[in-house]
Amino acid sequence: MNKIKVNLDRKPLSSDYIESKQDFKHVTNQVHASTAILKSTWFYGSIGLASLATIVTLSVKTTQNPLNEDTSTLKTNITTASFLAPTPHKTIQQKETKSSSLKNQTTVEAKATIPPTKSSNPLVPKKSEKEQAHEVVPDVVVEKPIVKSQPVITPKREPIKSYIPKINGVYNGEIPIQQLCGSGIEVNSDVEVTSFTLNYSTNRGDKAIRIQGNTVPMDVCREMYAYGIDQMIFIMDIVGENSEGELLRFVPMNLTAVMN
Amino acid sequence: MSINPLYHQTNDRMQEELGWIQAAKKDPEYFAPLYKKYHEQIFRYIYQRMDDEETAFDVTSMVFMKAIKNLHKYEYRGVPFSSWLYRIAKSELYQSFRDQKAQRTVNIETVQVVQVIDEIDQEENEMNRERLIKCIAQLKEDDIQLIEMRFFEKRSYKEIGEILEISENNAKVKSFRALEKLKKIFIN
Repeated sequence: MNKIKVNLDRKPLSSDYIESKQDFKHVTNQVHASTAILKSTWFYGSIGLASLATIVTLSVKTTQNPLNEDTSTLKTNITTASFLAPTPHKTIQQKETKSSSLKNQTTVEAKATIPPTKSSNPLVPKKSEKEQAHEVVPDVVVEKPIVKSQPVITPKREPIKSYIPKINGVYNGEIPIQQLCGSGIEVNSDVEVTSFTLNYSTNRGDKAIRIQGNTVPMDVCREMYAYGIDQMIFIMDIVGENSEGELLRFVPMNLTAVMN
Repeated sequence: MSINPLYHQTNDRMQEELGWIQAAKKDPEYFAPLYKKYHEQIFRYIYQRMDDEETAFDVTSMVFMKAIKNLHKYEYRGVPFSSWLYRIAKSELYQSFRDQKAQRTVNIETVQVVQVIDEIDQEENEMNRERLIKCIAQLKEDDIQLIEMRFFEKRSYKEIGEILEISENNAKVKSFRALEKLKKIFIN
């Protein structure tokens, strides 16, 4: 908003043109739509389910044993190896670096799925008439497993600490004004927010103030309350300190202070 | 200075408007006459401050949407309903600047530039006109707002006061100071 553009003698719009753009139905539809979404239990239900699914997926991924993952990859490879008549040896060799028990399992299964064939070229098995009739299908499938056969080993990760600032658990979106004023900005147990800049609207225009501490002061809350309507507030330049005394800067918050 | 008849209304008109508001509080469909009445002036207020016409129409729609949603909070305090709409419009307008959907723009006509040059007691010529335009862009947002409302949109001090929620006298003083600041920048 720093740069101001100045237009001289812009072509004026006629009243008829502006009137032609009136669409009250669209406005009321938007009002109904927004209230309907917020009032519906489906809205909260779907958000809740999505969050739950994300948490479960993340926790499963972090606690998963890498050995189990390798075993499942191996099994997939072995299953697909039956189509890979020319390259079974290769696939098995790749897996020989794994534990001995796994190696045995792989060899046994590979032997069982690949029937011995008489062929002049050991790499190209001779096919029976029946097999030749179905030749097209394995040819197509053969290409895919080669890509899949690459072992995926995910390194173990340290549990990630959240560095997203929140007020009463809200980082972005609507927050009742009572909660905004009642609770301070929190990041995680290791960090204490020491100062931030608050940008909000008052009856006398927009204001940006620097606040020491982590709580919105009561006089600011009174001003916001006097403003009377839901308003966007921005909490920027959030600075905090961790237990080691390091100063940290956090991502800004964009909240809508609702009056209800 | 001309009087905006849509803003400064007779008592009968204001009572009629209050009837619409009461009905609209119960059913948003009754907001239609208020929408019809104020759509143009709210749109012009927004479009005066931005460049893109489509964005201005979108922001205007948002203003009326918010007005309908928050109508239950509206209380009559002796000022026209439009001052409440202007407050929402102002909030939405600045929101669109913050979201970078629109750029803050000042739209002036040559006639208005000439009038402002006259107000700051300077000689009216091509060079001074160009200089004044540059000076306006250097003003602070609050001062631009006052100059815009007073000299470009020809609003009365009463109307400015009610839109900005300050007294009529304060609006007068602030407008004068804004003009002084413009003059200072112009001279320096």
